[in-house]
Amino acid sequence: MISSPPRSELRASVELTTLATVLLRAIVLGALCLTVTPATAHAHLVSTGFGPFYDGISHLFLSLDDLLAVLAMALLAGLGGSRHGPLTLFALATAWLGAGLLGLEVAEVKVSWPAASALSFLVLGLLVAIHRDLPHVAVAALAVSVGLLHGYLNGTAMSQIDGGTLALVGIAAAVFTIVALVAAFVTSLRAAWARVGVRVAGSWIAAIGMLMLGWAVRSLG
Amino acid sequence: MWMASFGFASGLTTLGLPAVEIPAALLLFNVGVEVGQIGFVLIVVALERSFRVLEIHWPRWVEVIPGYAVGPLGAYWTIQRTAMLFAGLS
Repeated sequence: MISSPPRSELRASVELTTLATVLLRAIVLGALCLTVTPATAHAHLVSTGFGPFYDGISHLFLSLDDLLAVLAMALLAGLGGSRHGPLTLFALATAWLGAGLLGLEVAEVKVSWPAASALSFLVLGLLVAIHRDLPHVAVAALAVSVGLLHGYLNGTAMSQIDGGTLALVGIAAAVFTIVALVAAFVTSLRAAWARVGVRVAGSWIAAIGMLMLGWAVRSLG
Repeated sequence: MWMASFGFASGLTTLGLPAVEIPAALLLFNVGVEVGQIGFVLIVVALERSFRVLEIHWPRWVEVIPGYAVGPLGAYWTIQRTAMLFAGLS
């Protein structure tokens, strides 16, 4: 025979259930009150101060010369496999951020070297297209050089706006992410035709570089 | 998400958006936030895979940084936003 719980336990259980119901009603009522009396909006970018970080990320995707240099470097690193990938990843992002911070501090006006910028991804695109097995040091030197050039140019541009440091961190984070994703993707390609496709992409980047270099030189004259 | 929606609803009201348009705007706002969150998670998952492909091995202290960064930041913003919400009511 199953014995029924004592009367005192039963009462305590009923009281707990009643208390839970009252609490639940209070929470729902509170939420409804908050809904009908909304407070001032505190938009995320304004209240957290992270706006320039996202500006930096957007900047990379909107600046063709920076984006093509990063993509070309990532393709080159990816063709070298896991030998070149990690080194390029850290060297490029670190040099970019370091030179950017330097540009931010020393430059009083925006520096623009369109010819040098175009030349950088023209050379990288050609290296991807011809795909020779480069030594470790050469790939690292290329990554650092490209990072220093583009980072410095970004830094001088960011010196004209507030929150330049955070914007540069955003750019460096985007550079790191793009190189990691693209280099890993290219590294994982095994089919010969797919690797030829990567080299074709490199040749397109080189062609765009040649075109932009031509325009830059012509505008100088 | 609820708190963000409360704030966004007040912003839309302040901007003078007709009341009838607010539910659709809020719905699309929340859909946009969800899409953004899923996109962010996908990027992080893809990055994790990329590190494995590129044979990048992080030291233990680096692996725990995201957890320790997200925890205090989440707690800070929760308390800050709750305080803002109640300050707005008073």
